[in-house]
Amino acid sequence: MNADFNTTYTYDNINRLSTVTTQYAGLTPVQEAFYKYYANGKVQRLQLGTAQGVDYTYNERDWLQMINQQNITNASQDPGNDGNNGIPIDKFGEVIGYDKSGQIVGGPAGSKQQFNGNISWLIYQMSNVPFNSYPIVGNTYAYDNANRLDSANFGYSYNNNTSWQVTTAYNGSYTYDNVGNFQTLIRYGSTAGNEQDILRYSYNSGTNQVSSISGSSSATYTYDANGNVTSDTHRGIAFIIYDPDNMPVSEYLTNGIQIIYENDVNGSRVRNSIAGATDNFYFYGADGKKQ
Amino acid sequence: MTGSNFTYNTLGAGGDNIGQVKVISEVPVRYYYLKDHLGSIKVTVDANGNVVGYDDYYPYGMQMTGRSLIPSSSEDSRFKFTGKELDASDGLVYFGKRYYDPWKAGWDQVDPMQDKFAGWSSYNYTLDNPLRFLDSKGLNPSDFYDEEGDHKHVDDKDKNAYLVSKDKFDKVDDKNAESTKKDKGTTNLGSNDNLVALSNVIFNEARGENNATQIAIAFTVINRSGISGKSLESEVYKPGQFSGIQRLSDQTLDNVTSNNRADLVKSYNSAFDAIIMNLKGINPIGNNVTHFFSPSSNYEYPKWGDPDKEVHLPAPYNAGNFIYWKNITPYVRK
Repeated sequence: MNADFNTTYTYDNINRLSTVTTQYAGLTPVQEAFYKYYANGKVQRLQLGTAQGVDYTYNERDWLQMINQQNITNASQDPGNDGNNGIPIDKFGEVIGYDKSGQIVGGPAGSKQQFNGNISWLIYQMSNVPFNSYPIVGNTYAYDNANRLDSANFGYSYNNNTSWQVTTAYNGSYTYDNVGNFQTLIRYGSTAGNEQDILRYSYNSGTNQVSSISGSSSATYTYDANGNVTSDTHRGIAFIIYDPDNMPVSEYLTNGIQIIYENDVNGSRVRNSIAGATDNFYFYGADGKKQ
Repeated sequence: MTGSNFTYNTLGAGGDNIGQVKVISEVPVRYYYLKDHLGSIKVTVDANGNVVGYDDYYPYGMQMTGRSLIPSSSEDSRFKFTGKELDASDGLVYFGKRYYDPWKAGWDQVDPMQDKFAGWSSYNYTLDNPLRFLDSKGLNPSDFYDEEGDHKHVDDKDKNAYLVSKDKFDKVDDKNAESTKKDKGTTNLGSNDNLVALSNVIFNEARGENNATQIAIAFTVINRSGISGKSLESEVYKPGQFSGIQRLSDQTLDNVTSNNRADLVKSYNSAFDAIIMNLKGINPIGNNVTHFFSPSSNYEYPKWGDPDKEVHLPAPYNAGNFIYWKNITPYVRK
């Protein structure tokens, strides 16, 4: 295979992936990943190099409950103790709400319990990406009777989890027709009250093909006989040519750029090139053989 | 210039991309991805854990201005929403079998499996429930907590994918290796009244697996009909559960010409339909199953308790292709 880059996998005594090590051009191998598991086989921890440790916590149904924790700056409460164990403090954390509204300290106000697996709320923190200087943010989500997302309501934790503050920034609201096509879509921007996108959808008669979008910005679309989008004014796509598997092979943008795609027999793309700019090849190899 | 620089994707459990190694002038530099529950890459860090890129997303995948590094830095991941690649050229996201527009919040092609989702638009994303469901290939949605990836183990080879420059690609001996790429995924069993439809889903999702695995999965469907919130695979791999049908010939679909390949897939699909219907105690004929794509009078589909035997596909697809029936001990729902 590719002699310059080797990946080695090791497994634990019950054949679960334990480590991933890569080596480039004969240089010192680097352990990229180290997995630790709960007794039930769920991943407990993924250590990425010596850069980060990602700890997973699950609820009683084995559904993912936490990735690290909501307040990643509090190393002593991290399940993996990252920040105190030689691994840098976590840079991302997320807590997932399903049927529990008050179980997690600081769960956002206004969430509605979901008993069928729908996500009721999320609280998360991205290092150095605060909202109005508050590091912990989140969303509550509302659904219609068909389990379709009605709205996402953004908020942030203030006073370190003891109070939840809502804002219309980054909110979203959605309406659908009876087969799930969008009728309207609203996305708020980075500041409260700023409706960045108000999209109203029109469809070609008797189809689910979006013919145009109007509202805060507009788009028109055309399709080929197989229902593939062939032009898109919003994306600046002049036309796209598809192969018999309905995968694009050639795309012309209105700015004159041409993109060439090559797809393998399985329909996976193996090449994506822009004349005079980038030429990307995708190679799916069998290099990662079990050692 | 780009000829001497290239990027390798580092793959972890489940073939999940966990980071990248960027080689610039022969010096490898490593980066790692921090993902949310959907596998969306939220933060990219360097080898020392320093943040080099970040993205936050609206529910349908558009990057949030003000909470995303736009434009991306060269160190940032090109993979974004649910871990899929965002094409900078046109803003579409490549999912494997379809392209997705996160602004429009819809697909640009019809669902290749649209027949399996009657009553739903074939352009909508994950049944309009994007926080819960993933679409691993652009084919059909599944519960994120059933997905491969961070929370499952790598079982075998072929989990390595590279993104390389052309000069590197030209050096690679085995250019056909891409055809070994496997599709994997899992399916929510919440509403599988139509086993025929679901068996087609299974076939497509499990096509990278050997047939024994496929049929074991099919049994699981039967036995877990109507039970939601369970992963097929987690059930299939229960101890003592595994037995089934194997295709003895290792001739792959790739060896068949394009037109015949489509027919062969169809033939296999209907074969599995017939077997599943039969195991369910329903005569497949007249139950929305065409027996085989090309019905053959001498085709004998296996019956419950039959001894091990070869089951041949009808001509012209029988050359080197048959499935091997093994007497099966099905998993029985407790």
